[in-house]
Amino acid sequence: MMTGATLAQPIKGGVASDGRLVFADDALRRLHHRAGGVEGGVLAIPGLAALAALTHQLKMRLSRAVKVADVDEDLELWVEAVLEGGIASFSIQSWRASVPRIMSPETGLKEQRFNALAGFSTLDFDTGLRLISANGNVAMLLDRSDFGEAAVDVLTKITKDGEQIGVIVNAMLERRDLASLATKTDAATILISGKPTHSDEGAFTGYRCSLQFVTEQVVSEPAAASPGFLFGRQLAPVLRQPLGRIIANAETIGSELNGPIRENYALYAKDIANAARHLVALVDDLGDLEAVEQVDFSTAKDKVELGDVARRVAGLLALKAADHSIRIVTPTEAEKVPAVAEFRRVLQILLNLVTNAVRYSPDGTEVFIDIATTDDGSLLTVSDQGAGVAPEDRERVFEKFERLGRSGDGGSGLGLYISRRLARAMGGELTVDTAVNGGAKFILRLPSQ
Amino acid sequence: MLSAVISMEPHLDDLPRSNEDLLSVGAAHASDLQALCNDVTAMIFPSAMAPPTEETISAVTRKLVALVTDIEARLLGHDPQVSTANPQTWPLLAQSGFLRQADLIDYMLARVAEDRLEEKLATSTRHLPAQLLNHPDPNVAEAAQTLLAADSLYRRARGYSYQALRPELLHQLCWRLVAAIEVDNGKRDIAVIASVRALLSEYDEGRTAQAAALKLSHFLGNERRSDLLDPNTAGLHLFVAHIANELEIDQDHVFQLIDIGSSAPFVIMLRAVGIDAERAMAIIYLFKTFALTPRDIGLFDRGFAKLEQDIAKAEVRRWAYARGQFLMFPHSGKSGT
Repeated sequence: MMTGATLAQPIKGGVASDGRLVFADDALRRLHHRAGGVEGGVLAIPGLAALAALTHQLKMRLSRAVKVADVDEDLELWVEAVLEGGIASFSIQSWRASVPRIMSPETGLKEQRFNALAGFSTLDFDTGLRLISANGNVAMLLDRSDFGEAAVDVLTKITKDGEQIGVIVNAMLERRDLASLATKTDAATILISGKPTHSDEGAFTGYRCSLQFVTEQVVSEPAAASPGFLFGRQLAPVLRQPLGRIIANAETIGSELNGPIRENYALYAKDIANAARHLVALVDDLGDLEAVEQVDFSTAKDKVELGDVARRVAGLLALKAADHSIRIVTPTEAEKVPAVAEFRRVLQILLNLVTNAVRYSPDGTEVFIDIATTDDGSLLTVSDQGAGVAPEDRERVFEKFERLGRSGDGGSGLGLYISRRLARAMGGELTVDTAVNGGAKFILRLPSQ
Repeated sequence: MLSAVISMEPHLDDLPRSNEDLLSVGAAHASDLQALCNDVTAMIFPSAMAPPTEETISAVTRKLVALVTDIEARLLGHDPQVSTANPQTWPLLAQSGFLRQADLIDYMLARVAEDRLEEKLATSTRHLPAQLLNHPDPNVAEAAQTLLAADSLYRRARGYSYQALRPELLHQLCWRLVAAIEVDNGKRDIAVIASVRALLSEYDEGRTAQAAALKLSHFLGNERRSDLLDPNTAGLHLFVAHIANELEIDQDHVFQLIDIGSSAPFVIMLRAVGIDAERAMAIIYLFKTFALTPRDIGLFDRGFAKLEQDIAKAEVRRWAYARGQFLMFPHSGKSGT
């Protein structure tokens, strides 16, 4: 909430066409200096500078609210601007300050910076574990000279928690995922997670640490609703319930339990049930999409046997495949390929791949699920005898909402996108190639151990 | 919001007895399914709403014609009151694609929404701006006066529609019109250019209803702030400006979010502002009277309180971001989602 009052006398200032502040009342000049501006230099207050530039461009009289970040508070100004003699002259009518952002004058600069931090940040390291980029508010804690420094030094600068730094650096050296780890500093708690990064070809390219600066309250209440989960946590369950009822009732109508009804009405009932099923799938996809796009999304590390997953999926989709006379060929009981991944997520990926294969294969064909162990990890492939994916579409097919021009087949364009995100979250990769017979061959690679 | 959810309950518990009952249940399911689809769309892809209806397209076209006619008449010294045909520059502007520009269409869609919402308010009760004319803060009093003037029939009358345009759009439209007139006439016309310059220099963003309402919302102290959330008392512009100010989103976006078919975005927006459930229901009822059913109301009762304000606020900001991206990069394919 804003505090403060309308100014008794407007604060005036003027900006030349090259952006220089050519005159200013005292309060504005001091604000300009606090923002890093110099006397006679370019106006250093972005909101006002943009308004001045627009006034020069349009040569019209403008009247707007402008938000300005001052040293320890945010300001909201009501500004009227007009071009006079080649100068964008503005008159600030109100000067309202928000509640101070920084707590008390005795808190040190580091604590002030920590207090200003919110949300997530990332640190990227190269293959030699040297800092190459810092995104988000963590960058405020680093200097230019920190880039290129070793991970251990960078982390020590952020948190003095030596024991935890050791755990993090070990995970980086061993190129393995790091589950969320709380490290204490004198001013904040940071949740640090990390994972190795890979190129499209699967080569190790470095390590990414995700950092979340949190208050004690957040740490103790991890289940507190986080913005961005509106759909998955709150709305999707509300939507699924009536959709289930729609499907059940529409099926009742379509099955003509109460005697025959006109054929087209029965078909309409089936359309309703199918539309509702499609919407359920969409709701599920959107819930997953929302989850996998969270910065802190992570998966469990279960010991998974890929042959077992393949046979379960084949069982689940057997009826659907039989509708199209499609046979799903799975690995034998004797074939066993272990992997380290979250079981239900692997199942979800494979269900998506095999559903797609059944959907886009001609009737009477076969879908093959194969497993193998390679130097690069455990592989699970799904090959079909359909039209395949053209080389130019092989990356595009993993994009969000990408349907490759298809419509009306019940797909949402999210399945492969989500599947790839899941595969990567588990330290693996999902790619597509051409099968021996020209169909599509999706390859899921997962860590072996 | 979630308009269909409640409706299923009686049907599930009392299985239909005859085929007629079955068919009516089927029809109800079909419309509920459509409502659910709309809700999902509205919540997930607020900037890619269902395609505009014929009625909306027609209203946007009428408003565009009126706008171009008004500016053209002003530049060429014609009387806009007597002109009935499409303006002279219309074909050229249409061919150039300018009239399909995302920000211009977005502005027009907001005006069409504004007209529809205005119709739902009681004209006799909007007394807040009039009461503020004597406010001790001169900024409040001046903004109230400007808002009343901008809202008056005179400002909305034929011939002056351009005065409500955003400055960026007016500037762009004026110079496009000059170019079209020159192409049409085959020569440069100094008088037309002088007219444009005069028009632009006379323009004052502060005199538009939207800016005046925003200024009022900005300057008004706590003593009357609760009135800003009563659309019948505050009037549409003040109500919308207050929501826009609180949520830091564009006023035109607020108009559109209130007006779209599903009430889901409006509900989320009201939750984000922190209105209590009873008041929110009254406001939704005011604007969505004919679209609301007892099922909606039951559902609202169940769902509104569960929705957390911070989450609702974050969601609205996400929509605003998506809309901003779309307006900035309208041709970048997926940004419209």
